[in-house]
Amino acid sequence: MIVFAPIIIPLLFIILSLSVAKASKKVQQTVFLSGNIITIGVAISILTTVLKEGIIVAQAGAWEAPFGITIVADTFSAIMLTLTSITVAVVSLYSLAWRENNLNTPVFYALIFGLQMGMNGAFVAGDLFNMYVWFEVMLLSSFVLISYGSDKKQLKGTLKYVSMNLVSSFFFVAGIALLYGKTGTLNMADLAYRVREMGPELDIFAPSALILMGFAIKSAIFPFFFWLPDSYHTPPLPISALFSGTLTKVGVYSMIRFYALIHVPGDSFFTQMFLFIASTTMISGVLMATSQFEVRRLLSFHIVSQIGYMILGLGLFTKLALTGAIFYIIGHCIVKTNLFLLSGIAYKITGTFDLKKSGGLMKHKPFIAVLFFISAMALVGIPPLSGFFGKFMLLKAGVESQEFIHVASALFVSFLTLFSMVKIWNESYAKPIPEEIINQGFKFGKAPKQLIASSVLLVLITISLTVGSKFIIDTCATAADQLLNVDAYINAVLHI
Amino acid sequence: MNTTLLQLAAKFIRSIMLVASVFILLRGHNAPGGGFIGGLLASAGIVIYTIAFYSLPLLSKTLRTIAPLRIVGLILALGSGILGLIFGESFLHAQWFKLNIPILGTIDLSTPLLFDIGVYLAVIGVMVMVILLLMEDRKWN
Amino acid sequence: MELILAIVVAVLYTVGVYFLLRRSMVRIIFGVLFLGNATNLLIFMSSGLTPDAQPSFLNIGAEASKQGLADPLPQALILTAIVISFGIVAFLLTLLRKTHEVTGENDLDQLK
Repeated sequence: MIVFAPIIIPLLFIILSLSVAKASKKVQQTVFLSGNIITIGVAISILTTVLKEGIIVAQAGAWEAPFGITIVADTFSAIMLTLTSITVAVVSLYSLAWRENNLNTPVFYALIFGLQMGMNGAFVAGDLFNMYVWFEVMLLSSFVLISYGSDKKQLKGTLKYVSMNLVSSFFFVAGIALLYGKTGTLNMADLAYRVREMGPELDIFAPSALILMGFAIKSAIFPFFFWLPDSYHTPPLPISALFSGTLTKVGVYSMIRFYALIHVPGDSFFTQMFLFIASTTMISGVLMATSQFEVRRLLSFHIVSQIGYMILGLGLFTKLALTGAIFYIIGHCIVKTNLFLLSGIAYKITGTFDLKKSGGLMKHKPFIAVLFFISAMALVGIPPLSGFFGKFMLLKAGVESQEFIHVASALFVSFLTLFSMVKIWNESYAKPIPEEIINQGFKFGKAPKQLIASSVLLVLITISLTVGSKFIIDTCATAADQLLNVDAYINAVLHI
Repeated sequence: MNTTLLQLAAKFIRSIMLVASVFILLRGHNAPGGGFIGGLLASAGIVIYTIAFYSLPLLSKTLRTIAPLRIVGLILALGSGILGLIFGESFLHAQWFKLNIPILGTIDLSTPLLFDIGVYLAVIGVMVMVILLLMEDRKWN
Repeated sequence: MELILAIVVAVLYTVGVYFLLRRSMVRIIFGVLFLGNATNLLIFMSSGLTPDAQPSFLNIGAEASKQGLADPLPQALILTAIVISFGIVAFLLTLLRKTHEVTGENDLDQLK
């Protein structure tokens, strides 16, 4: 029954935070934070249960599997649940101290819980249509969050974000409709069973392509990535940080889940395409990032490029590659969120997001410089930080599968990422404040302690990913095993 | 929009639509209908009434009374699911109770009905809120 | 019947995409509505329309015991999709109104 909790608890807290709208700020914030903490607790208990007992399945309303709504949690979904709930909690802590953009309202809290409910639902959904519904819950909350505050620039970004995501939803539903017409079921385990039973004569190429296209737009991979850098830098910073850490990962998660379950065995078209897309995504994202001087835009382009690594794992589709991809998702989610949070702290101190106008942070606040250095190096993948393990496993899997071109492009992109991070370091931390800014009467601002504390939390998690790397890699390997072992999934849901 | 004809009609239309919406809500288990459709009907009735008697005090009064329904509706819908979890095997597991009333006979009560009522209230709350807020002339804060 | 509906779906998709690509912001709502309805019709068609069609949730190779059974699932899916697109359209209306209020523009190209 615990599998329902990641959906019920955020819903409960949506109701709670809307109904304490008249109470004092203290009460509202307590409700907000306690909701986040309870969600983390639930996610961790699901993770431990899954690791101990294997895949957990629950049927809503006790309707049997292919007919009812099935909720499934395997190791991969449990990892994602834990990861996103931790990220959301840290960003929530951060947003309480942000003090701009009017973020401390009950509506904002309800929206965060709505976003979390949507993501959690998508992670544990056992059938495709249910997944679509949770996607929409997530998207509607994110639509409102990304337009939160209604700045002029922001509304323009929102229009792009909304229209692209709606188009992707229509691709997804059209694919679902065709898939239902072909196979007569939408339960993912049942779909996997039927696809394996009927083999290649069951032609599900068009529906799969449509559904994967929907996911591809949502996870911003080549050639559908242009909406992400145009919209992710516009909302208030805590919201950008939350989106860049979690939302695209939901797209990648569903892509991996869908492909792992519902591909015709022995068909290499999609894996070849994934590999090609992975390289182009990585390269185009990182190349476009090099010319950016707005720190949030630069980081947004890097999201695109790093999505490519995760897709690379999907394209190679071996145990090692999937392990690497999952580990990379974990590390990237934490680190990318932290880089956004740190750019917010830098904004509080220097008053600008423009790299050319900022500087002097290393002298003024060496502690923040250290935090940034660790996160940036973890993103690039300098050993022994978290990005290294993910990239190393992916590259090793690539060499084993003899996909040398893609390995080479991944390495090349790593260097360019290093270049970008060094650029932020030079411009914002190492160089002194430009003369003309000082002449305009520049003064260093103050960053509240709570902001720095939440960033420190994420750095600690990054370091603990290194310290506990054996356990984490083992967990990721279990997840990859379960993804590749489709029969166990089918058996857990359908008992055949 | 303060025409007498519309105002006269709106009073009737509102009451007829509210009664019809409850009827449609209750027949929803086996026949076409249910919480969503009933809620749409009811909110259409309320909105027509507000349009006919358009004035800012009426608008804000309607908003104040109707908008909290969305929270009540959510609570009922979630509660019906949790009742299934407490009494039954699973979340949203349907529970049936028989209620004996001397003259009317037995009435079947169930958690799906509770869920539908929750949806009904939530739809009324959201629909009326959305339409009235979009209708309002003054700027939003 | 299937052919006619297929053509209708195609036309609806075309109109929806055409509207989405216009510069006027109000057209985006029309585009979304058309795309939503096209998708709903597609779901409706996917279970088969003719009276002797078999419901598609049957097991592999099985046949329905009685003719004239309809597939109840697509209708439930369509209802869900309608509810979702209702919410999205409500949000889009608010967004466009707000954008118009802030920028005074209805033309996407003029938004800078």
